[in-house]
Amino acid sequence: MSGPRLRVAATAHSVAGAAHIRQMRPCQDAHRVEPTGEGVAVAVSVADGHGSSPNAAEGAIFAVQTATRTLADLHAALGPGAAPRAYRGQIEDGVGRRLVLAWQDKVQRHGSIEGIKRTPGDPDLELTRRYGTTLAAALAMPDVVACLALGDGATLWVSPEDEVLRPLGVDAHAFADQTSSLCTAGAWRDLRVTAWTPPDEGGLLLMMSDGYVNSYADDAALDAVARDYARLVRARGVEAVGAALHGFLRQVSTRGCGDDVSLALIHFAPPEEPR
Amino acid sequence: MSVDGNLPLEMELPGGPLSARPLDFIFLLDASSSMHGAKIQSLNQAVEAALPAMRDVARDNPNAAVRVRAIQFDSGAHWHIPKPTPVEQVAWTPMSASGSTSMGRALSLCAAQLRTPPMPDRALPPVLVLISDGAPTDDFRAGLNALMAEPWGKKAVRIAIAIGEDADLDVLRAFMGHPELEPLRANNADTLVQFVRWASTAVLQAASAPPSRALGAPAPSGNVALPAPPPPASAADVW
Repeated sequence: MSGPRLRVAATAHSVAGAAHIRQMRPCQDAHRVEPTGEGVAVAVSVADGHGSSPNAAEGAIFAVQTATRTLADLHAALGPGAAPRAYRGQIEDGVGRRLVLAWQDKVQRHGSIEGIKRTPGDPDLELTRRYGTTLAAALAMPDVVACLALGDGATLWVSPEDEVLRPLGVDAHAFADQTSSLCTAGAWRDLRVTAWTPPDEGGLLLMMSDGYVNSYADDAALDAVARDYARLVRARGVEAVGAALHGFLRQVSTRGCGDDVSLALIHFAPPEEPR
Repeated sequence: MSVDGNLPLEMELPGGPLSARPLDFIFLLDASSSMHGAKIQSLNQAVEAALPAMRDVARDNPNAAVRVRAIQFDSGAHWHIPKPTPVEQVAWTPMSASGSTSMGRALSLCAAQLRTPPMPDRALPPVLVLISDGAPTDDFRAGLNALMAEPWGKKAVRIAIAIGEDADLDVLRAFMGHPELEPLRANNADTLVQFVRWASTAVLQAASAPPSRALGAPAPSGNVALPAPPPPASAADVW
């Protein structure tokens, strides 16, 4: 009996932004890594709560919880051997919408428990906006990677040839301080979704909040970051790089844009690749 | 960074140089003939006096790279400080006053520089400070339309300071597009210094870390939440 075609390993981390620390504001980013199935699949997510939303920190935590749970459930429902188009189709045809609604339901319940006052007119939307956040999430298996994103930040794929791709493109609404968000009405329509089969040589998927993105001058500089992480992970392994992430992200925020910073790394490695 | 078989125990930060987000602060300054004499002298002094305080704000916000420029408008409009200059390196060259009030051309000149490129995608909202003592003598509306046609023009924090009693407040209101904040009215040199300093520090500070918001969520008036301006100074000399 042969083992899985590729090994999948993931790590993620978030740090409070340098500017947030100076202003004594909490970290409003969140991340989550959740093994699923029998150790061959992993659901990973990062979220970046909006600075203008008073409950953004909770909103981001609810987002990563909801996303990883939803993707793990999808993996269980589709079973082994499902093709990338099945994952993409399921997310586009209903799972994405359910994810958004599950998050909105969670914040509504939290708001009720916390006694947050609702405003007349459009009370549900107003309450949900208090928890506004972006989201990027991925389900990674040896034969399929499925990812989704809502809002700014970046999802990058580094190929075995060190080519850097943006499999989800960019958020069409992101400009200056504005972004698509889980908190908007019909937010699932702004979800960007894709899925593919990683090549036999593997690759690295990076998901980062806009605090990381805005700390570099342009896309080319961010591509260099992604390539360096790919080299580092190939040489040291995900666990060692994961242990270094706190220091890396602190440097990025302090010397970069000052915002909260999150990064998730998902490595696909051939079984024979040395670690 | 090089990653090979002999890695040091400590890993270097992946990627190349980090970058603070650029924050462009642009003065649009009236140097028409009505500004001749005490007014232009006071304006030069007010801008020069604001620079050290601007540098302090920039130092306290290292994650924003504050870059200063200035447009002078009279019978035409031209860049008095043409390149985005780090605030630490700005040295003010006094302007002299003559000619008419080409405010519309100044706005068009500014608009051309708020396009992407040359403006980077990842910039902070620019701060535009318009200071005038009169009424435009050219097509102000065309200039304002050009400015507002640029996404960064629309996102800019726009402050207007009226010098003396003859400034066209309707025009300055239209430039600001702020439903709550009126153009600041400086009727003497001390008040002008206070207002320029407020725009160069408190407004700069507010623009240096704007909180992110969801698409469709209400934005604060004037694009970022601004602190209240100072009251006018009570000085004897009135323009």
